[in-house]
Amino acid sequence: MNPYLHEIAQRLGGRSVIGVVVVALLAMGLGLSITYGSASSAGIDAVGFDYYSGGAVHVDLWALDEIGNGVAGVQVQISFTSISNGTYYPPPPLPPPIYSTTVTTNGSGAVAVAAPAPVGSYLVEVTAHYSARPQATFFGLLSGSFIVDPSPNGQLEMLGVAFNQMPVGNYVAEDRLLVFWAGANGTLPTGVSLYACTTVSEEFTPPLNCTGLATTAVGPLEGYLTFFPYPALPTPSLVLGQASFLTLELVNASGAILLSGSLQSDFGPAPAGVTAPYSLSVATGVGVLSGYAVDLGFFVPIAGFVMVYWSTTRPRASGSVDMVLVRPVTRRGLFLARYASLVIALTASAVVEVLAFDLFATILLGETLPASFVPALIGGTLVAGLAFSGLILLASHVFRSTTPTLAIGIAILLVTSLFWTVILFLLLLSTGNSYPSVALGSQLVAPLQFVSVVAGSLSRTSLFGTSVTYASVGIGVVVVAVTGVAWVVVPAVLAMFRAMRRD
Amino acid sequence: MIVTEHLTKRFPGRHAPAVDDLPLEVRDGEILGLVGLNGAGKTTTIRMAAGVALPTSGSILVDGVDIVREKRAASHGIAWVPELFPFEPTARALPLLVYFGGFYGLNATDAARRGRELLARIGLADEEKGYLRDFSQGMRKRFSLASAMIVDPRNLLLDEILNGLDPAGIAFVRQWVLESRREKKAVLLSSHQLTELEALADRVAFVHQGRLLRTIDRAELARAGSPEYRIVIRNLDPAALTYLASVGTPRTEGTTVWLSRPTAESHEVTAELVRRGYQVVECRVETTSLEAYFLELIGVAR
Repeated sequence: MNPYLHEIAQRLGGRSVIGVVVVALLAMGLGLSITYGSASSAGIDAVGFDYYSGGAVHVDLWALDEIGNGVAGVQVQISFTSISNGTYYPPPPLPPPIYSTTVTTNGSGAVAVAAPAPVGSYLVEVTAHYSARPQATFFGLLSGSFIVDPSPNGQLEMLGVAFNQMPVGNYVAEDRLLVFWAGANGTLPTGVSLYACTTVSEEFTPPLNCTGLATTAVGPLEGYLTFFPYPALPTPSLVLGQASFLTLELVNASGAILLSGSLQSDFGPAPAGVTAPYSLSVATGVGVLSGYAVDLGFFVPIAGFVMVYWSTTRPRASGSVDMVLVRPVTRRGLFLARYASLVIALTASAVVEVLAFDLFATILLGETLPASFVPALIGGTLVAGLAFSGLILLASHVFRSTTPTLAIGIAILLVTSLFWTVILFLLLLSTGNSYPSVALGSQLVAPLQFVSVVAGSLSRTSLFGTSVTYASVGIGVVVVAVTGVAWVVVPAVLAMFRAMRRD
Repeated sequence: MIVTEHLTKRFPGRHAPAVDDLPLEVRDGEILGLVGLNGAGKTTTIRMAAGVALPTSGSILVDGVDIVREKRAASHGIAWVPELFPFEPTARALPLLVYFGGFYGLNATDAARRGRELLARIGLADEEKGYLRDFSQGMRKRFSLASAMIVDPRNLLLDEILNGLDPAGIAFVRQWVLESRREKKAVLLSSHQLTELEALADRVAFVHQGRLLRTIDRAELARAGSPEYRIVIRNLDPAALTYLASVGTPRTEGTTVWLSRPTAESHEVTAELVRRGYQVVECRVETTSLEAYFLELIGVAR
């Protein structure tokens, strides 16, 4: 066998690859955990209202996923128990329910239940099950219990409201406002309109409503649940330390404010023309990926670290590499053989990691990654691994002992992952650029952040809490590709030349 | 055959070269001894000849092949036993030999068979699964012999090979080296055990501060060496030393006098001392001629 193929086979059969496998398994375990946790915490939301009418207690619910679409097929068990003192904690024993039923949400995600009952207070207990997302939890009215109190007829009453910012199209953070509003006794709202205004504050205290501010009409409510495009409001000019707020208010036909609330819309100055302020946070494969990408970019580099340490760092420091160099091999050939084994091992590790993540997303979230995402994510993960490994290789060939190489490796791991915000802060101070552009741009110079760049570019999501996407700060496909190639090639080539000269 | 021409090695941060324009020739069927003080450049020279260190300038030809320019071809003809065998703590004896054998094209089965033969030959047959970290210094030295013998190259580079070996190990090495000479192999042997080197080497190259001082053959060595008398005088006094200074260069240690460069025969010196009333307990002619020759060569007084 060719000596270099022999070396590659040896490396891929050695204990360093056992380390790679262990690290990949850890990554898969974390991926499973995160995906499971995401499915549990970012589950199905619900809105609803209840009222008393026609000798019956009515409860109307809507099951919505995280992008605001109705979820059909949710099985809802609901029971009504009469309580005398009108609290959640009536003295035991509770009387038996006066009415129980199990219903399934329709194609709009809605379910309506009417329990024949005299006027009074009732404890309504709701549990829900959705087989497509076994781990999904249900927020709001679809989980737990609430009290139905007798409501006078013929009087307008606020039964429920929700302001939401909704990404649409599953991956793209186009912002929507969701308003849920029901009239008295479940009547459709009429003559109710939504208005919006923006403000800037240094104290993170939003205004109560838009009184006294320039207000934009968003539109009238046309049903219980109404989606509005994000209003075209002027982007306020911010300085560091300020926040801008979007304030919404519901106004009836006579001009009275029925409800108002504010949302923080940005952390810093947004580039001109960029107005969509919210990031993606959905229980989909891509949505979870937006948070998990950092972890994808963490484990493969660690696997590379383990492999480089055993294949190069230690043999260089101990001198045992000399017992190989005396064989019929060249320094460059030996370096390339070991680097090839690194590439093979990390590629396998990246493939396993990304496919495992995709599998978990499919099983737990009911949604696979788009086919075009998979190779790009594998490539991005591999770039992160090889870039970091290349730096360790370079350090291994510069220093004669393991200590500085280990220190450099651990420092890069910590700084570019856990303490990255410190670097961001320093960059902000030194460059004077805005937080979003620095946050996204700086990921290009941190190998462990590279998967985040790829994932964010693919899903076109914006930086959390801001409106800024990678594309908006000039990080497109070409920049990502060139940066990736540079990260792989430059440290490795420098390390190779160093290896060819070092005694 | 190993030939070096203008071989020079400079290390960063050091003013003086470790090896300075060194010409060496190790002929086929010859054992060339390499002698020098610590730091003379012996190990650096051997490491460059082994292809594990790069010369700053000059060339090293192994059977006519430049080991820098044609490393793979040249390394097929080289076996190297370093003074200290470097290894990973996780390394085990037979798997490491199999790994080394793979670089010469041996498949795992053949390499394992060859490895077991070698381990048996060097007395480590029961240690094939043992970790090198658990080996004694002597066992590691024996293992390094096996590592060098995994194939049968034409040129042997042996750096302080006798250090750490027990008498049986030394006998084995002596036999291996002499056998290699009979097989017309070229052997470069560096050692501080000059008596052993004197017994084995066909020629001896003396290096000092990276430069070659002289290369002499066995006949020259025999001629070049001068005897030294070791005389034990019970009632040694200054007058005795005055006499001894007239017939050589004495130095004392207690009641023992070493007389180098003697101008009289040992029995004549003893007789004169007895005649002068000294009680001569012992008078012996020492045979450290190579060492004496070397020290004289580099100007270090004993």
